[in-house]
Amino acid sequence: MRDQDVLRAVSDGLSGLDMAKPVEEIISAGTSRRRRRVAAVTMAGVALVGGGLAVGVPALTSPGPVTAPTAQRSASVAPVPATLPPAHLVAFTVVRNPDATVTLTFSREQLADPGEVRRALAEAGVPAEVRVNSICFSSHPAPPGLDRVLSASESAVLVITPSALPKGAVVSIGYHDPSRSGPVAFGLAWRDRLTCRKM
Amino acid sequence: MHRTACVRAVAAGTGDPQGAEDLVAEAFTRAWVSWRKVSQHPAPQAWVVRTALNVRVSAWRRRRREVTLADGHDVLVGPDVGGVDATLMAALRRLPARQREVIALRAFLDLDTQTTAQMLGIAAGTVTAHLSRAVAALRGQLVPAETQEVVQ
Repeated sequence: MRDQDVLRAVSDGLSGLDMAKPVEEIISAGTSRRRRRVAAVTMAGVALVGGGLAVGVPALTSPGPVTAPTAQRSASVAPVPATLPPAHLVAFTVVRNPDATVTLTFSREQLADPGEVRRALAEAGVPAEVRVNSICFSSHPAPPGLDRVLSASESAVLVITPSALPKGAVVSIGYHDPSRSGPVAFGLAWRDRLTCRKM
Repeated sequence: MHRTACVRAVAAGTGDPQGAEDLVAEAFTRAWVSWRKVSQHPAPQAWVVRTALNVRVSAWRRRRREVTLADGHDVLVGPDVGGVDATLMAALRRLPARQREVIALRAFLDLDTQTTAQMLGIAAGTVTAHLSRAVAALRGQLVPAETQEVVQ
Protein backbone atom coordinates (compact mmCIF):
# COMPACT_ATOMS: atom_id res chain seq x y z
CA MET A 1 0.00 0.00 0.00
CA ARG A 2 1.24 3.43 -0.85
CA ASP A 3 1.03 6.20 1.72
CA GLN A 4 -1.99 7.69 0.00
CA ASP A 5 -3.70 4.30 0.06
CA VAL A 6 -3.18 4.06 3.79
CA LEU A 7 -4.62 7.50 4.34
CA ARG A 8 -7.56 6.64 2.11
CA ALA A 9 -8.12 3.42 4.03
CA VAL A 10 -8.17 5.40 7.25
CA SER A 11 -10.63 7.83 5.76
CA ASP A 12 -12.85 5.06 4.40
CA GLY A 13 -12.74 3.20 7.68
CA LEU A 14 -14.57 6.01 9.41
CA SER A 15 -16.92 6.85 6.59
CA GLY A 16 -19.91 5.62 8.56
CA LEU A 17 -19.30 8.13 11.29
CA ASP A 18 -21.46 11.20 11.18
CA MET A 19 -22.64 13.96 13.42
CA ALA A 20 -26.20 13.64 14.60
CA LYS A 21 -26.39 16.71 16.78
CA PRO A 22 -28.51 19.35 15.02
CA VAL A 23 -26.80 22.53 13.95
CA GLU A 24 -29.52 24.53 15.68
CA GLU A 25 -28.55 23.00 18.99
CA ILE A 26 -24.93 24.02 18.54
CA ILE A 27 -25.84 27.52 17.46
CA SER A 28 -28.21 27.89 20.37
CA ALA A 29 -25.55 26.78 22.83
CA GLY A 30 -23.02 29.08 21.22
CA THR A 31 -25.37 32.02 21.23
CA SER A 32 -26.21 31.74 24.89
CA ARG A 33 -22.56 31.21 25.72
CA ARG A 34 -21.63 34.21 23.64
CA ARG A 35 -24.17 36.25 25.55
CA ARG A 36 -22.64 35.19 28.83
CA ARG A 37 -19.20 35.72 27.45
CA VAL A 38 -19.84 39.39 26.76
CA ALA A 39 -19.39 39.86 30.44
CA ALA A 40 -16.36 37.64 30.61
CA VAL A 41 -14.60 39.33 27.73
CA THR A 42 -15.00 42.75 29.19
CA MET A 43 -14.29 41.40 32.54
CA ALA A 44 -10.69 40.42 32.28
CA GLY A 45 -11.17 36.72 32.74
CA VAL A 46 -11.11 36.65 36.45
CA ALA A 47 -11.58 33.35 38.16
CA LEU A 48 -14.98 32.60 39.49
CA VAL A 49 -15.87 32.56 43.09
CA GLY A 50 -16.44 28.98 44.06
CA GLY A 51 -18.85 27.26 46.32
CA GLY A 52 -21.68 26.83 43.91
CA LEU A 53 -22.17 30.49 43.22
CA ALA A 54 -22.40 31.01 39.52
CA VAL A 55 -20.91 34.36 38.89
CA GLY A 56 -20.20 36.67 36.06
CA VAL A 57 -17.20 38.77 36.71
CA PRO A 58 -17.18 42.11 35.02
CA ALA A 59 -13.98 44.00 35.43
CA LEU A 60 -14.63 47.61 35.93
CA THR A 61 -12.31 48.82 33.30
CA SER A 62 -10.79 51.99 34.42
CA PRO A 63 -12.05 54.47 31.91
CA GLY A 64 -9.09 56.69 32.45
CA PRO A 65 -9.40 59.86 34.39
CA VAL A 66 -12.93 60.07 35.58
CA THR A 67 -14.31 63.35 36.63
CA ALA A 68 -14.06 63.01 40.33
CA PRO A 69 -17.44 63.40 41.88
CA THR A 70 -17.17 65.99 44.55
CA ALA A 71 -20.30 64.74 46.17
CA GLN A 72 -21.06 61.15 45.59
CA ARG A 73 -24.71 60.82 44.98
CA SER A 74 -26.88 57.95 45.84
CA ALA A 75 -28.67 55.86 43.32
CA SER A 76 -31.41 57.29 41.28
CA VAL A 77 -34.37 55.02 41.00
CA ALA A 78 -36.30 56.06 38.01
CA PRO A 79 -40.04 55.59 37.93
CA VAL A 80 -41.70 53.29 35.46
CA PRO A 81 -41.49 53.72 32.56
CA ALA A 82 -37.94 54.88 32.40
CA THR A 83 -36.50 54.65 28.96
CA LEU A 84 -33.94 57.39 28.90
CA PRO A 85 -30.39 56.68 29.90
CA PRO A 86 -28.85 58.74 32.65
CA ALA A 87 -28.24 62.24 31.43
CA HIS A 88 -24.83 62.35 33.01
CA LEU A 89 -22.39 60.00 34.55
CA VAL A 90 -23.29 59.13 38.04
CA ALA A 91 -21.57 56.60 40.16
CA PHE A 92 -24.33 54.12 39.71
CA THR A 93 -27.91 54.04 38.63
CA VAL A 94 -30.73 51.66 39.14
CA VAL A 95 -33.39 51.97 36.50
CA ARG A 96 -36.69 50.15 36.34
CA ASN A 97 -37.36 49.28 32.76
CA PRO A 98 -40.78 49.09 31.13
CA ASP A 99 -40.39 45.34 30.75
CA ALA A 100 -40.13 44.96 34.53
CA THR A 101 -36.41 44.37 34.47
CA VAL A 102 -34.00 46.48 36.44
CA THR A 103 -30.77 47.81 35.02
CA LEU A 104 -27.90 48.40 37.38
CA THR A 105 -25.12 50.49 35.90
CA PHE A 106 -22.14 51.37 37.97
CA SER A 107 -18.76 52.96 37.87
CA ARG A 108 -16.02 52.39 40.32
CA GLU A 109 -16.39 55.37 42.57
CA GLN A 110 -19.71 54.72 44.19
CA LEU A 111 -19.07 51.09 44.72
CA ALA A 112 -17.34 51.95 47.93
CA ASP A 113 -20.77 52.25 49.47
CA PRO A 114 -22.48 48.90 49.17
CA GLY A 115 -25.32 50.06 51.36
CA GLU A 116 -26.36 52.58 48.74
CA VAL A 117 -26.38 49.96 46.03
CA ARG A 118 -28.33 47.56 48.23
CA ARG A 119 -30.93 50.18 49.15
CA ALA A 120 -31.36 51.32 45.57
CA LEU A 121 -31.86 47.78 44.38
CA ALA A 122 -34.32 47.11 47.19
CA GLU A 123 -36.34 50.15 46.16
CA ALA A 124 -36.43 48.73 42.66
CA GLY A 125 -37.69 45.42 43.98
CA VAL A 126 -34.43 43.53 43.91
CA PRO A 127 -33.29 41.95 47.17
CA ALA A 128 -29.51 42.05 47.14
CA GLU A 129 -26.51 41.30 49.28
CA VAL A 130 -23.73 43.71 48.35
CA ARG A 131 -20.25 43.43 49.80
CA VAL A 132 -16.90 45.10 49.37
CA ASN A 133 -13.86 42.84 49.12
CA SER A 134 -15.98 39.79 49.69
CA ILE A 135 -18.74 37.84 48.04
CA CYS A 136 -21.55 35.83 49.54
CA PHE A 137 -22.87 32.62 48.12
CA SER A 138 -24.82 29.58 49.14
CA SER A 139 -23.55 26.07 49.23
CA HIS A 140 -25.07 23.58 46.87
CA PRO A 141 -27.60 23.77 45.66
CA ALA A 142 -27.39 27.41 44.73
CA PRO A 143 -30.60 29.13 43.65
CA PRO A 144 -31.45 28.15 40.09
CA GLY A 145 -32.05 30.45 37.19
CA LEU A 146 -29.00 32.68 37.19
CA ASP A 147 -29.26 33.18 33.45
CA ARG A 148 -32.89 34.18 33.74
CA VAL A 149 -32.27 36.64 36.55
CA LEU A 150 -29.04 38.28 35.52
CA SER A 151 -27.49 39.25 32.27
CA ALA A 152 -24.50 41.45 31.82
CA SER A 153 -24.98 43.10 28.48
CA GLU A 154 -21.83 45.13 28.60
CA SER A 155 -19.16 46.15 30.99
CA ALA A 156 -20.54 47.27 34.31
CA VAL A 157 -24.14 47.00 33.21
CA LEU A 158 -26.26 44.36 34.84
CA VAL A 159 -29.83 43.70 33.82
CA ILE A 160 -31.83 41.99 36.54
CA THR A 161 -35.19 40.33 36.16
CA PRO A 162 -36.65 40.37 39.67
CA SER A 163 -39.62 38.23 38.71
CA ALA A 164 -37.27 35.36 37.87
CA LEU A 165 -35.61 35.45 41.25
CA PRO A 166 -36.51 32.34 43.24
CA LYS A 167 -38.34 32.98 46.47
CA GLY A 168 -35.87 33.43 49.29
CA ALA A 169 -32.99 34.21 46.96
CA VAL A 170 -31.01 37.41 46.70
CA VAL A 171 -28.73 38.86 44.08
CA SER A 172 -25.26 38.69 45.52
CA ILE A 173 -22.76 41.30 44.39
CA GLY A 174 -19.19 41.61 45.53
CA TYR A 175 -16.38 43.85 44.43
CA HIS A 176 -13.06 45.20 45.43
CA ASP A 177 -12.79 48.61 46.99
CA PRO A 178 -12.04 51.41 44.53
CA SER A 179 -8.38 51.48 45.42
CA ARG A 180 -7.91 48.11 43.77
CA SER A 181 -8.67 47.17 40.25
CA GLY A 182 -10.67 44.04 40.08
CA PRO A 183 -13.86 42.35 39.17
CA VAL A 184 -17.40 42.68 40.22
CA ALA A 185 -18.78 39.27 40.98
CA PHE A 186 -22.45 38.61 40.97
CA GLY A 187 -24.71 35.67 41.36
CA LEU A 188 -27.63 34.28 43.29
CA ALA A 189 -27.67 33.08 46.86
CA TRP A 190 -30.22 32.05 49.45
CA ARG A 191 -30.83 34.85 51.91
CA ASP A 192 -30.89 32.53 54.91
CA ARG A 193 -27.90 30.46 53.82
CA LEU A 194 -25.22 32.98 53.01
CA THR A 195 -21.58 32.15 53.22
CA CYS A 196 -19.30 35.11 52.64
CA ARG A 197 -15.64 35.05 51.94
CA LYS A 198 -12.92 37.37 50.76
CA MET A 199 -12.45 37.97 47.10
CA MET B 1 -17.27 23.85 7.45
CA HIS B 2 -17.97 20.15 7.22
CA ARG B 3 -18.96 18.75 10.54
CA THR B 4 -18.67 15.19 9.38
CA ALA B 5 -15.03 15.57 8.40
CA CYS B 6 -14.33 17.11 11.78
CA VAL B 7 -16.05 14.28 13.64
CA ARG B 8 -14.08 11.68 11.73
CA ALA B 9 -10.83 13.54 12.24
CA VAL B 10 -11.43 13.83 15.94
CA ALA B 11 -12.43 10.17 16.14
CA ALA B 12 -9.15 9.26 14.49
CA GLY B 13 -7.18 11.72 16.56
CA THR B 14 -8.56 10.46 19.84
CA GLY B 15 -9.23 6.84 18.97
CA ASP B 16 -12.62 7.39 20.54
CA PRO B 17 -15.43 7.56 17.97
CA GLN B 18 -18.08 7.64 20.67
CA GLY B 19 -16.82 10.81 22.24
CA ALA B 20 -15.91 12.52 18.99
CA GLU B 21 -19.32 14.02 18.36
CA ASP B 22 -19.52 15.66 21.76
CA LEU B 23 -16.02 17.05 21.38
CA VAL B 24 -16.75 18.46 17.95
CA ALA B 25 -20.05 19.91 19.13
CA GLU B 26 -18.21 21.65 21.92
CA ALA B 27 -15.56 22.89 19.50
CA PHE B 28 -18.19 24.19 17.09
CA THR B 29 -19.89 25.95 19.96
CA ARG B 30 -16.62 27.64 20.80
CA ALA B 31 -16.10 28.48 17.15
CA TRP B 32 -19.51 30.09 17.08
CA VAL B 33 -18.70 32.09 20.17
CA SER B 34 -15.41 33.26 18.64
CA TRP B 35 -16.61 33.34 15.08
CA ARG B 36 -14.99 36.66 14.30
CA LYS B 37 -11.61 35.10 15.00
CA VAL B 38 -12.29 31.66 13.61
CA SER B 39 -13.68 32.97 10.34
CA GLN B 40 -10.35 34.66 9.72
CA HIS B 41 -8.44 31.49 10.43
CA PRO B 42 -6.68 30.01 7.40
CA ALA B 43 -8.07 26.57 8.20
CA PRO B 44 -11.28 26.86 10.27
CA GLN B 45 -11.94 23.13 10.20
CA ALA B 46 -8.50 22.49 11.57
CA TRP B 47 -9.20 25.03 14.28
CA VAL B 48 -12.30 23.08 15.24
CA VAL B 49 -10.45 19.78 15.28
CA ARG B 50 -7.56 21.22 17.24
CA THR B 51 -9.98 22.72 19.75
CA ALA B 52 -11.86 19.44 20.04
CA LEU B 53 -8.62 17.60 20.73
CA ASN B 54 -7.68 20.16 23.34
CA VAL B 55 -11.07 19.83 24.98
CA ARG B 56 -10.54 16.13 25.10
CA VAL B 57 -7.15 16.54 26.75
CA SER B 58 -8.64 18.82 29.38
CA ALA B 59 -11.44 16.41 30.08
CA TRP B 60 -8.98 13.57 30.17
CA ARG B 61 -6.81 15.35 32.70
CA ARG B 62 -9.78 16.00 34.94
CA ARG B 63 -10.87 12.43 34.57
CA ARG B 64 -7.38 11.16 35.17
CA ARG B 65 -7.27 12.66 38.62
CA GLU B 66 -10.54 11.04 39.49
CA VAL B 67 -9.60 7.72 38.07
CA THR B 68 -6.14 7.74 39.57
CA LEU B 69 -7.60 8.22 42.98
CA ALA B 70 -9.93 5.32 42.39
CA ASP B 71 -7.83 2.57 40.95
CA GLY B 72 -4.66 3.94 39.43
CA HIS B 73 -5.69 3.33 35.87
CA ASP B 74 -6.69 5.60 33.12
CA VAL B 75 -7.73 3.69 30.10
CA LEU B 76 -10.11 5.12 27.61
CA VAL B 77 -11.26 2.46 25.25
CA GLY B 78 -14.87 2.54 24.28
CA PRO B 79 -16.90 -0.13 22.58
CA ASP B 80 -16.99 -0.23 18.84
CA VAL B 81 -19.41 2.09 17.13
CA GLY B 82 -21.52 1.39 14.10
CA GLY B 83 -20.10 2.66 10.84
CA VAL B 84 -16.56 2.45 12.09
CA ASP B 85 -14.00 -0.11 11.05
CA ALA B 86 -13.12 -1.80 14.33
CA THR B 87 -9.78 -3.01 13.01
CA LEU B 88 -8.86 0.49 11.96
CA MET B 89 -9.85 1.97 15.31
CA ALA B 90 -7.80 -0.64 17.12
CA ALA B 91 -4.84 0.22 14.91
CA LEU B 92 -5.29 3.93 15.51
CA ARG B 93 -5.49 3.43 19.25
CA ARG B 94 -2.15 1.70 19.17
CA LEU B 95 -0.49 4.77 17.69
CA PRO B 96 0.99 7.48 19.89
CA ALA B 97 -1.37 10.42 20.30
CA ARG B 98 0.70 12.78 18.18
CA GLN B 99 0.80 10.34 15.29
CA ARG B 100 -2.97 9.96 15.48
CA GLU B 101 -3.38 13.72 15.35
CA VAL B 102 -1.18 14.01 12.29
CA ILE B 103 -3.12 11.25 10.59
CA ALA B 104 -6.38 12.96 11.50
CA LEU B 105 -5.40 16.28 10.00
CA ARG B 106 -3.86 14.77 6.91
CA ALA B 107 -6.41 12.09 6.12
CA PHE B 108 -9.65 13.91 6.92
CA LEU B 109 -8.89 17.58 6.47
CA ASP B 110 -6.33 17.11 3.74
CA LEU B 111 -4.01 19.66 5.28
CA ASP B 112 -0.53 20.05 3.89
CA THR B 113 2.53 19.47 6.02
CA GLN B 114 3.08 23.12 6.81
CA THR B 115 -0.47 23.78 7.94
CA THR B 116 -0.51 20.59 9.95
CA ALA B 117 2.67 21.68 11.66
CA GLN B 118 1.18 25.06 12.48
CA MET B 119 -1.98 23.55 13.85
CA LEU B 120 -0.12 21.15 16.08
CA GLY B 121 2.58 23.60 17.04
CA ILE B 122 5.41 21.40 15.87
CA ALA B 123 8.02 21.55 13.13
CA ALA B 124 7.17 20.51 9.59
CA GLY B 125 9.90 17.90 9.73
CA THR B 126 8.34 16.44 12.84
CA VAL B 127 5.01 16.17 11.04
CA THR B 128 6.69 14.29 8.23
CA ALA B 129 8.36 11.93 10.67
CA HIS B 130 5.13 11.28 12.60
CA LEU B 131 3.22 10.72 9.40
CA SER B 132 5.81 8.33 8.08
CA ARG B 133 5.84 6.27 11.26
CA ALA B 134 2.08 6.26 11.55
CA VAL B 135 1.57 5.19 7.96
CA ALA B 136 4.16 2.45 8.34
CA ALA B 137 2.47 1.17 11.46
CA LEU B 138 -0.99 1.28 9.92
CA ARG B 139 0.16 -0.29 6.68
CA GLY B 140 1.10 -3.42 8.54
CA GLN B 141 -2.29 -3.69 10.17
CA LEU B 142 -4.69 -2.62 7.49
CA VAL B 143 -5.71 -4.94 4.73
CA PRO B 144 -6.24 -3.31 1.35
CA ALA B 145 -9.79 -3.40 0.08
CA GLU B 146 -8.90 -5.43 -2.99
CA THR B 147 -7.13 -7.98 -0.82
CA GLN B 148 -10.13 -8.15 1.47
CA GLU B 149 -12.33 -9.03 -1.44
CA VAL B 150 -9.98 -11.80 -2.52
CA VAL B 151 -9.75 -13.18 0.99
CA GLN B 152 -13.49 -13.19 1.42
